[in-house]
Amino acid sequence: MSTRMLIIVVTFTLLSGCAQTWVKVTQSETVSPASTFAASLPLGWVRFEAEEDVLLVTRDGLALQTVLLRRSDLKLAFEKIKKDAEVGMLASELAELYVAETKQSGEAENLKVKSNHPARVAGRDGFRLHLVYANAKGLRIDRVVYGFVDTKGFFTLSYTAPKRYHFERYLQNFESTVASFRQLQGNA
Amino acid sequence: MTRSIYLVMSIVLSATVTGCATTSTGKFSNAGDVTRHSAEEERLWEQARSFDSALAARDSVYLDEPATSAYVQEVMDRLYPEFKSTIRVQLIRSPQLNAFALPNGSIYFNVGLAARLDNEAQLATVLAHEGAHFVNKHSLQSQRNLKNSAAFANTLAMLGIPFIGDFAALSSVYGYSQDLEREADEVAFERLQQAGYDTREAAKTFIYLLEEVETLGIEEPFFFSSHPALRERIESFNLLSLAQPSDGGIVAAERYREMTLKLRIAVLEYDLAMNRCESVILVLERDDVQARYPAYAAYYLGEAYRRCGDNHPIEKAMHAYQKAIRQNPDFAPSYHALGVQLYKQKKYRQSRQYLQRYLDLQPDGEHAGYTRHYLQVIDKETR
Repeated sequence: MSTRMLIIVVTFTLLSGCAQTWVKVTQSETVSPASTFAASLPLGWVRFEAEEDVLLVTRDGLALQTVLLRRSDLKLAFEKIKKDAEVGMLASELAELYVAETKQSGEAENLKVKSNHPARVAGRDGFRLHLVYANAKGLRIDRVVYGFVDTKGFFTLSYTAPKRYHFERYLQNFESTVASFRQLQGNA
Repeated sequence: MTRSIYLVMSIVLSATVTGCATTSTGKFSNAGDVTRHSAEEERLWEQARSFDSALAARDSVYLDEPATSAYVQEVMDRLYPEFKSTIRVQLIRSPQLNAFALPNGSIYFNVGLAARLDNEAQLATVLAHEGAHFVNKHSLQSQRNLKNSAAFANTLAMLGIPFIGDFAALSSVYGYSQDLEREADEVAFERLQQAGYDTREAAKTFIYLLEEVETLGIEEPFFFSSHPALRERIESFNLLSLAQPSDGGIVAAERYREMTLKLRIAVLEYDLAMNRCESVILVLERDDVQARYPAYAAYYLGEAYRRCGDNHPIEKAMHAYQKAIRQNPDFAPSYHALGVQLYKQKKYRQSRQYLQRYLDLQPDGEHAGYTRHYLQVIDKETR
């Protein structure tokens, strides 16, 4: 499920009146629904209780900032471009596929890659991408995403926010979350 | 968006259009004319201006090569000199085959379509055709023929199709009625003659596009990639050419290739960035087409082979990178690409040479971070 579709599902669930889907982050570490990873989320933010193996949090609303930590199965990890993630793929190859998937998903076909560097996440070699695009209303959106792959799946940690006012303001919160990220045995 | 959705839209559109003879709306005679229009036209213009703003805000306009943009505008001004500064052509950052005119004189032309044309006369054919839609007020004529445009808009919403501003803009998908399209062909043909272009290229434009669509298996829903629409244009321009044979005129193939060289490379990069690698392969595997690209184009072919790895062994990609290096030894990305493949095969000594060469040529290049990382790993492994 693409990031955009996930947010649409979340919004729909919220609007349908389900009162128990958002919980405040009060603990120092949060474990994913399938117990495959854990991270320290920004205290005081709110987390959506998803069924998928994701941790989705925001402070002021998904349109203003979204932190999304997710594990995808290797098979069709890149659904729109019909590609699998593979153990042994280079980080640069994963980053390429992530960009192609994001462009094809309709979220941001006009996106530009501001930077693309190797990065370490939970001791694994991965990538750090900084993407910029304009949404349908012309608002500039920035996204930083870390990603890596291993036998347990394709992991991505992303932070998306409008450049104006919000992006820089909470970027450090996200970077702290990334630094705290660790993998668990899990149920997956 | 799938073909089936567009088929449904076609049916809905047919049901909402009266199909009656078009109501005469007159046409613009010159730039001075365009400031005088009815309240009904003003509404269309307002929608068109909103669309212009929305497109600009989304950073969809291709502004990377001002000389190319100026060249395309120059061709349009040659075709419609009395509408200079009124008909404004903008290139759109998209690899798809599409071009359309808005009622306010904005003409949008995808770089993907420009990359597929062979010469200036073919560019002029498409521009002249789109210009005719504006000058002859086809948007207004079509709008008046819509039985219930609100119903049409509601249907679009139901199908989840983004309403990109106005029915006129959506003509990029369906075109106009057959009569209006033929009228645009006639006006375009006349304009090509007046501007001195070789009108034999007019039908060839669409024959060439149809070949591209069939060879590349393009399945986009747009007018300029629609088999029936392209066949109709071929027939229309063939009839016009029979009636008024040409014995020459401007073709300007070399100038066109020179002015659109960077644009065509950009389209290859857009296709690769979206993993549309088979399109790149089908274009660059044709010797006649590859000849129109710079010597380092083999690098893009290699990238396409690599990305479409399921259907192409990696050796094909490596041969392509090596060819790019032989033909253009200063093109840095070829070294990075080959170095990475050797790195993956643990041929560290060879890999090191190519990766280092990449850094020598582009120490701050887009792949520099990864290249330095791979070199560190190689150093550790070969210690």
